[in-house]
Amino acid sequence: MEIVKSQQDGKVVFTLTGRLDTNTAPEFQAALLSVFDGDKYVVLDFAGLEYISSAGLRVLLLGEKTAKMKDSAMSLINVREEIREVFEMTGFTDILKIV
Amino acid sequence: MERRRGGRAGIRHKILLVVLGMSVVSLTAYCAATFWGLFSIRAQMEQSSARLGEFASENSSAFLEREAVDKLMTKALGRAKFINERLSVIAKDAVYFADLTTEIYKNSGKLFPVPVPYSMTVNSGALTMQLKSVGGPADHPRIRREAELLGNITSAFISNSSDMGEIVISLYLGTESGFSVKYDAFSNDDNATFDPRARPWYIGAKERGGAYWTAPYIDASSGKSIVSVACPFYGPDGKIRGVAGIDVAIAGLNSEIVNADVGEGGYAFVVDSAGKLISSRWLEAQEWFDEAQNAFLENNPWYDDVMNKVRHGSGGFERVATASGERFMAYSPIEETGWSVVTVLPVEEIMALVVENSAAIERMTMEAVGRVNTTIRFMLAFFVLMFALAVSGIAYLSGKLSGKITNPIVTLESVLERIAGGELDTRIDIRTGDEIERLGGSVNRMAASLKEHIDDLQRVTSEKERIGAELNVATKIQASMLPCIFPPYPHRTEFDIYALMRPAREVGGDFYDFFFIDNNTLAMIVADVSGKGVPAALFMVIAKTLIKNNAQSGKRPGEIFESVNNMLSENNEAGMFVTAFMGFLDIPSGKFTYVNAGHNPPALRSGGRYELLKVKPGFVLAGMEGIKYAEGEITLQKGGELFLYTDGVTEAMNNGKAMFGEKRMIEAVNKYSALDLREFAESVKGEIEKFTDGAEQADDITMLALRYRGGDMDELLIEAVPENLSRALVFVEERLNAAGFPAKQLKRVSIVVEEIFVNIANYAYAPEKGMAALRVSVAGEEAIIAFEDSGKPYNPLEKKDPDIRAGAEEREVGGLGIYMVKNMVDAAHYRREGDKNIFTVRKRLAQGDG
Repeated sequence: MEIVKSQQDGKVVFTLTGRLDTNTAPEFQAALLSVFDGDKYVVLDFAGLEYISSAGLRVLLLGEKTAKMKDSAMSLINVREEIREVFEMTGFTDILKIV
Repeated sequence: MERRRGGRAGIRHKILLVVLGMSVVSLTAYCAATFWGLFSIRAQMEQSSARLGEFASENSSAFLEREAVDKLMTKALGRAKFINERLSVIAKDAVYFADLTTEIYKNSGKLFPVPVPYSMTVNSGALTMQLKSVGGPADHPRIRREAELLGNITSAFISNSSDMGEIVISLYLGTESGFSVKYDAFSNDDNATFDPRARPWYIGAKERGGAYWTAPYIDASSGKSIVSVACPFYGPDGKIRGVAGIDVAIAGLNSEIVNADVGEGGYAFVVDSAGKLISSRWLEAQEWFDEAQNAFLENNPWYDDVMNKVRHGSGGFERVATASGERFMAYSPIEETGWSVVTVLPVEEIMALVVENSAAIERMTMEAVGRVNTTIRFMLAFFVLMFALAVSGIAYLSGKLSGKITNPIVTLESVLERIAGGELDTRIDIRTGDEIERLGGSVNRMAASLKEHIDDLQRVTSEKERIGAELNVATKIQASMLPCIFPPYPHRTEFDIYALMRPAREVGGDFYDFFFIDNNTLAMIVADVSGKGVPAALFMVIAKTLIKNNAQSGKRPGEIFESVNNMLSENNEAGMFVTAFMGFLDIPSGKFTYVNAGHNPPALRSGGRYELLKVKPGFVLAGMEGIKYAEGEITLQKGGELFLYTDGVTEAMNNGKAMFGEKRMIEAVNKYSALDLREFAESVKGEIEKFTDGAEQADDITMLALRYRGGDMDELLIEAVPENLSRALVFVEERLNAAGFPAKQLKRVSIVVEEIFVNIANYAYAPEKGMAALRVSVAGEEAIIAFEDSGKPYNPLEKKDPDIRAGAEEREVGGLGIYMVKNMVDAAHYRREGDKNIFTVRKRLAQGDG
């Protein structure tokens, strides 16, 4: 998986490509949770994300929880259909801010 | 029994009414008869009283009249006799004085002259001898000698003075010489005018020559109404010298005689022979005038008629109508004077008695009638009272009586009510000695036999219930004897098997069975015991047990049936038999060796459609000893399917007695062949039920379906660490991709594989490490993925599902993986086998999204 972190209009944008699974989740988790210390607005661009397992869901839940705790905001953009189905199946559509 | 008690005229009421009605009618009739009798008695009494009164008054008036007349007659006679006596004595006195005077004349020479003074007024009021002469004292010398001679009568006169008074008032001698010597109380100075020879008594006596009574006249000297009796006396020559006389005062007669009591309103009077009144209470001396007599006669025209009778009769009786009313008159002659005494009594006085008498009778009659009326009134009151008493008494008694009759009925009713309410031990105790007691006895017997019957029924019912319960248990036992957990071998990816039996009754004679003979050989049996119910079930148990035991002893199918047949035939006194089909599946090769004992041929699907397998029928088990059973053999291709069944399927009948038949069965199994086996079997059963459409199931329905996948599963044996996840995913994805699973489904399967693999790594082994085996098999449209590891036992399916509705803050981090697995596969199964965890998931190929 490829994780690209960029700044855009005062927001941190992570652009994910490939699979967010057991093996790639720790890397993304570290990258994601670190940005909440300084940045208030985090955008996850899932346009290139084709797979997510429960490990990836765990990172998103932790990210959301951290954002709430640190008074920041995390939003997801360009979520693919199959990923959205997983969110719906697990109730994550109610938790995450999916644009 | 409100009802019961309500508005309804009970027997008691009815009896009361009947008895009361009868009593009232009979009492009324009795009273009416009695009163009719009383009234007719009264009427008769009144009638006879009236007759009696009439008769009595008639009789009594006649009697009274007779008596009155008798009394009247007696009084008249008595008066007449009395007067006659008196007058006769007076007349005798007159005769005596005359005789004495005659004697004086005869003895004139011997007698001394006794001078008698001339009458003087001064002497009036006392009895005095006095002389009167025609010519007065001047004439005295002429008469002196004779007068002094007659003075000798003085002593006789005076000696008689004691008899003088009210009646005899004067004694005297009148002479031919014209003088008279008197002895009375009426002296006066008029001595010259009185000439005795002119007086009627003198003339009458002289004419008669004996005693003579005059008619009444007014006495010149006394002025009284008198009658005189006179008798002549004679000289020695026999020539009349004079007349001796006695005056009788009528007033004296009146007071002494005539005025004597005749009766109230009655009176008496005396008449002379001429019919002239001599004595009467109306006639005082001074009133005695002819005018008065004439006036009386004018006023009483009856008098003459009566007097004619009186004068000529010797006595009698008359009823006379006078101006003042009817009178009874009785008359009786006074012989001395020729007079008559007449007694008079007003008829009304007698009739008053009669009237009084009949009034008394009438009064008495009325009193009697009154008493009868009183009696009737009393009787009426008595009857009213009696009636009231009788009616209330009868009401009370008949109330008691009807109570006596109805109380047992009421008791009976309440007892029956209680018996009907289920109190069957209730007994009635009525001792009336009549039908009701017998009825009570019948009720008691009824309750007793009812209780007996109910007890019997309860016993039978409880027996039935017990049997039912036991049958229920038997059904459960039977069900538990048949494999009923599906999938039975979730870890065996080479085949699927599903079976069902629906018994026609609680316990059935059909059975199916499948079991491993060894790791690679699966035996499957479908059988049908003749008959149904408990006997068939028992026989089925024996048959099933024998088959399984024999099968597990390493025998071939034919040998198994042979030996089971012999065993069952041995003591088959019930004459039961079993049709059975049995096959051994060699799992790795798909070789299916079968044997048939008179059972329906199975349907086989190899490739396209189900078709009936052509098998030798064979002979039924338990029919006869020593039968040989020929084996048949086919080889199942991957994806090949077998459908075993009993005749309950093909012979299922609808209400039109049409059978489901093999044709419909083949259609049904082909129709549902794409479904997994459970759905497949249930759907076929649904077709049968649709066909029979509620008709009673006549026979057990049994189906067994086998789907063969083949034994060659691809296996990947790798160390269960996250680093190997990619290899595992590639292994699975490659095979499913080859089987035609679309990319979308593949991604889901990947998530499933990752989650399970990570689970094994993180939970089963961690912190150690171990191996995991992944096997993939795709048969038909279903993929089976099995995971096997030797780590700690864990069953992820037991984990509670995470709350997917919770907000981010409350969300648990764990549990999501297994949750996704359950949601993404068609079936997930975990089992611990030895020291291994075996987790199997099945995923069916889905067209489109899946």
